[in-house]
Amino acid sequence: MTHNRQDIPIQSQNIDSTQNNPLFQPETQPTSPKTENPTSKKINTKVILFGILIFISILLLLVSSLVNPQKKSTTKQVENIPTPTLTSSAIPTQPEKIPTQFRDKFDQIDKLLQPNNFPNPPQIDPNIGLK
Amino acid sequence: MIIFIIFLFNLIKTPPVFAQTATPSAIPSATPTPDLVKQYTSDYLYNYDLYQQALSNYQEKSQIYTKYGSITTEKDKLDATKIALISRNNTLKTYLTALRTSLNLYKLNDPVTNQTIQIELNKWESWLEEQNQIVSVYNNQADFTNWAKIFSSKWVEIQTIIYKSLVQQQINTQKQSMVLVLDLANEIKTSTSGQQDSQTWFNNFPVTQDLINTNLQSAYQRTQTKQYSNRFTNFYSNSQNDLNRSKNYIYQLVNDLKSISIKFSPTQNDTQ
Repeated sequence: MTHNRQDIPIQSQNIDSTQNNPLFQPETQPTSPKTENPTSKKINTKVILFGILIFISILLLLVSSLVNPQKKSTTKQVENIPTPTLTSSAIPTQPEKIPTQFRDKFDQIDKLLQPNNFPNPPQIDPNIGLK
Repeated sequence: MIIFIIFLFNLIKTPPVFAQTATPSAIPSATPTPDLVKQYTSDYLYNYDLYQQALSNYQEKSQIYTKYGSITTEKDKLDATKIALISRNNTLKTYLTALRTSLNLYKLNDPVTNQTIQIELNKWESWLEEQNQIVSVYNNQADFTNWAKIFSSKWVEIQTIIYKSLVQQQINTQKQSMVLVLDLANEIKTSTSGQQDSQTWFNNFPVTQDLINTNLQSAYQRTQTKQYSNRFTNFYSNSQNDLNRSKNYIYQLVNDLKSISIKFSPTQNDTQ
């Protein structure tokens, strides 16, 4: 098989030459602003929108914290009313406030619950007489 | 005329008034008085003082005998040993008696358990008394040594029944206080039943009651701890923790009742 010499373009056939190396990828030239990638333009927009949203939410938080103290001052009277509880913590239980008909029985119970005065067991030596 | 008036007076004189019998109360009455417990406790404390003196004397005589080893010092030591052993048995016996008597207070809240413990206490009281009669005739070290070994083997059982009794004593008192608390709760509930929302304030009572009963049962269960023959495993502090918890719950109920009685009392509302 013969090649027509006129068909073969005049170029270097050196394999080390970059234009002959199939693995070589020519560097892309930096793009000018006019030729910017449309996807990065979209990313920038998203970032800006996200930033705006965050700013708005922070602003709303600030506004709500400024508004709430004003609300508290108007509802102070309502908050001062004690909530009913089942323990005596909200209600004073001084003896004089207990109805007379129940006082003796409460005293009886209190007396029963006093600490036990019975003496402790004797400390004895169980080895007396062993030696 | 005077005789006739005297005769008439004798006919119409009023019959003697007899004391009324007390109406039965819902609260069980103690069999002995608390004064009896006080008396036996005082006996125990007196015997404990005597024991401590006898023990000190025994230790002194033992040291002298160890130092000199003479027949005289040996005799002194044996006499001191006898006195110390008898004194120690008397101390234990009087303590068990006081303990047994104290269980009669509020015993009716759990008669079976109390009776069982009291029988065992009585058994040990009798054993200690019997041992004193045996020890009183000893006059040589070999007999004392043998007897001391017997006592050591019984000492674990004696400690077990002592601490079991102390736990039961406190269970009795707390159960009695619960009887009074529930009695009072019913009374207050009835007196406040006409008032709005008053009954809802009693809603937590069954739960708290259960907690009290659970802790009392746990305190008693710990007294059933299996014991080694030569070493006493003391369960008392753990039982005491359970008893303290149940007592706190009882206090909570009492405080709640006080609050309810104050809050819903019509008298208090009128005076406010």
